[in-house]
Amino acid sequence: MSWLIILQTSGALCCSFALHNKISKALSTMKQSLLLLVATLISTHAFQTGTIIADRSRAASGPLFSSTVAGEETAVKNDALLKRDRYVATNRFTVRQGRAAKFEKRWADRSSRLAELDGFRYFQLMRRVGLENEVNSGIDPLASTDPFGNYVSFTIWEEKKHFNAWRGGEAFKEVSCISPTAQYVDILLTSISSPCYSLPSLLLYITTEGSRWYFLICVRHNHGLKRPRPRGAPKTRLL
Amino acid sequence: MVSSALVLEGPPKPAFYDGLLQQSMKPDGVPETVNGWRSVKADGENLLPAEAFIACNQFFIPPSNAVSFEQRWANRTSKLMECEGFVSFSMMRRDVKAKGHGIVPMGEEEPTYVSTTIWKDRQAFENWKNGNAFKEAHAQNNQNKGEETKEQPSAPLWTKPPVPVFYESTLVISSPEGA
Repeated sequence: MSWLIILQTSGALCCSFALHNKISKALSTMKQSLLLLVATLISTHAFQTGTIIADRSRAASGPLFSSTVAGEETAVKNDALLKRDRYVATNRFTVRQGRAAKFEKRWADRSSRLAELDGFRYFQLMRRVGLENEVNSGIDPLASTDPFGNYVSFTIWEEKKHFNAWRGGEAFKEVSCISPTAQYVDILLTSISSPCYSLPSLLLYITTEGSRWYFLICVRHNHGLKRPRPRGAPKTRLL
Repeated sequence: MVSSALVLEGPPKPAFYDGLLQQSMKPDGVPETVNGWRSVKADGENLLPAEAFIACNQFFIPPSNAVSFEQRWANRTSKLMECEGFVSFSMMRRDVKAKGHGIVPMGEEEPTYVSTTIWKDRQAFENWKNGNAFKEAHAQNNQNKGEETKEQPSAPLWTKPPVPVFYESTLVISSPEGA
């Protein structure tokens, strides 16, 4: 059985719905088999897009950031550059309008051992605010669309090795308080935006988060598509 | 995962930096944590209270000028540690070699350096800006062609003028030694 449907489509469709607890209980016996299905999906997807995804699925089975955890590089090759005193890890988010408080709640409710970890110095969740001339000007600082988005998570580590230790282990346990299954699929979904040369595809994912079941339908974009439209392929889009 | 799609526009963009010329105050006390994380009640309706103010300046320095840029900063004397409400300063150099899940190569429109100064609150930043320490740093900048102000020095090291960006922060966690 396959949940992977391939269509000649473009654009994005993203929808989800959570079933109520009662249905969820009724479905609980199916849980194991569905988990297996998700795993099957991952392998199918990996097969489809070759090495890029294979790399990512390795990330899914171990540390969240897989590639350089072991292979620490020398950051400063040029001796004339300053030696670093700290290592700073940031993540930049563009939070949808009206969702800021919900986003902050997810951070507040997350479980993390951050403060207890070796080499941890400082953390903050940064919310963009106006410059001096923007205050009371009607400009909404949270409406920013530049690469820095409107929120930045900001962590200072004593040394890069401390950060690597965190992302090699702890990070995987605490991704925004979501379940391990959801983490697998989250990684998978992120990989969907990778350039690829296949036809756009419609994919269906199922996952659980706490007592809720989620069904996610999404269309894979083909940002890197440079191949001309094959002869006889329809010009119209289905979605 | 699904809630991510509903809350965020696009995937998060990780960025990593070498923290240079670090200065940080040892805090009088640190926010309380429970099992390594803050215990803060969030209702999902209201923004969390601001706990600090952050003034960033983004610098667009081509690799050929990186050494000169860093040397200018290294040769400056700073009085930040004497300022009321100062928490920490880092000159952050983008670690362009960082690799891993979700990391995309740095875009040309992105700064190669970001100075980040953390203040207790916005007022502390304003006080510094209007006080003598800032004026002295400003004079030094003119002398050393530093980059703290938006003024165009005689020999700019950047490809475009610095861009200031301000934040307030929440869920602050600090080690007892400070940042």
